[in-house]
Amino acid sequence: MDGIHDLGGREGYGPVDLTDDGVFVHEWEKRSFGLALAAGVMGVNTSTSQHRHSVERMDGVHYLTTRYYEHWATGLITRMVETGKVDLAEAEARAGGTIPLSRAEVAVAGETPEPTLAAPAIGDRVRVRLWHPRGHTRCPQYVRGKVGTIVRIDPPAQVPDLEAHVRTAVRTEPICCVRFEPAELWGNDDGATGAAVHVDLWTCYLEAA
Amino acid sequence: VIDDHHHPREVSPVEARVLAIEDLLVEKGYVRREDLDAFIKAYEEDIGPLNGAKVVARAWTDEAYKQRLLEHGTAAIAELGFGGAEGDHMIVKESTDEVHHVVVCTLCSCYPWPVLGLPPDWYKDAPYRSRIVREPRRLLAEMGCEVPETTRIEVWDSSAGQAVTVEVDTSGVGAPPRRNGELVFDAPWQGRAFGLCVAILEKEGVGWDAFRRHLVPEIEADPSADYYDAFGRALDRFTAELGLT
Repeated sequence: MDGIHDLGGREGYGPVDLTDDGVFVHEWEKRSFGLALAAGVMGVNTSTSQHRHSVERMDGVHYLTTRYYEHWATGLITRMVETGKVDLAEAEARAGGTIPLSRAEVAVAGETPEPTLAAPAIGDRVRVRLWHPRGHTRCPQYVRGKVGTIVRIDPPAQVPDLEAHVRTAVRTEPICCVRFEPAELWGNDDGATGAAVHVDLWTCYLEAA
Repeated sequence: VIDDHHHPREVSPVEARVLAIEDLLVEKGYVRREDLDAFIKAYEEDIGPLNGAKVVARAWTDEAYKQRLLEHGTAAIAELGFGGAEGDHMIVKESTDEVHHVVVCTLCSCYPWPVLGLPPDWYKDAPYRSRIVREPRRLLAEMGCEVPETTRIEVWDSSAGQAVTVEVDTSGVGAPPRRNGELVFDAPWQGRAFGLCVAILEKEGVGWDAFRRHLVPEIEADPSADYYDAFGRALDRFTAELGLT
């Protein structure tokens, strides 16, 4: 989905804040982290893809105005309610206030294409599919439609677009690390001069260029 | 947790939510509190950038290991006993005078936990994730890391999660990196394993040279010893000197 989480190349977020480079700033962040790690054991998430998508489905304003482990907590609570582990009213009564959940899934069945590259190889020129899936994907917007070169191929792994939505079948595909030259991504932007960007993309995200 | 306090404090809404959910899940038997405590403790105490520092230290003194590390990162890192969650497939890049590597996850916060621990706030927040792919040289400079114009920058967006990249400076094998000091060790935001290690130590207000005073004698005391062991002993002395242990 073209959600708020897909941040690559966006503008307007200001300087990096280095004042807190610790991992956990608040005690509750530790609990949120621990609960997310335990989500698989609890039967709340069947994959990391499912966890990630539960976070991506957050309201955009809520996402941008909250700390990272509140994202995890929101996704986790959403999945707990969705899987019937916890009743929302019961949780809100216990928390003493409303609990914002992520939005419902809007994945469209069949929107993840079959791979068209028969045998991707290092050195191949490829174009990233120009598409806008409504469900989970690990294909960032800033490279869609762009042409690059495969520089590394990693072993087959579950296609996250399918894995995140349990009702659909899963399949594995090699992950191609594609190198994009800065001019291809950003035109003549002076801030980008000289910096190629490499993105790891499942084979079905790519087409022959 | 909050009820135990003699002086109750204000509980933020998100804190109340997290604690309520934890309590409910524990009560319903989905998870045990001691298991959560163990997860958290492991990442607070055992899994962190010092692991990555040990990997880099080995690469400095063992050329064959360095080659294995660059070619098969996950396996070479496993030789030192590190691996696991978010480290299924780790790739190591070497920064040199010619190229400076920088890592990001624009979609979430993928990070090589086994060698660097959990990512700091800035790595997970919008400014870094949005800007580093578009204007890396400018952003790194803002963050205090001036990459010379003659050095190329290569950005790695570890969007596939399991292909996270550990970016380390292994140049100058057997000695501190050729640009001792500023570039390597004053820049924890570069995502370098050793840089992060030293950044932690620098919170105490001391720099790399202070650590090297301990490291060099340890190496000289027994040149045949594993560099990893010497590094660990030096770190023990160093942290003891700082009153951290």
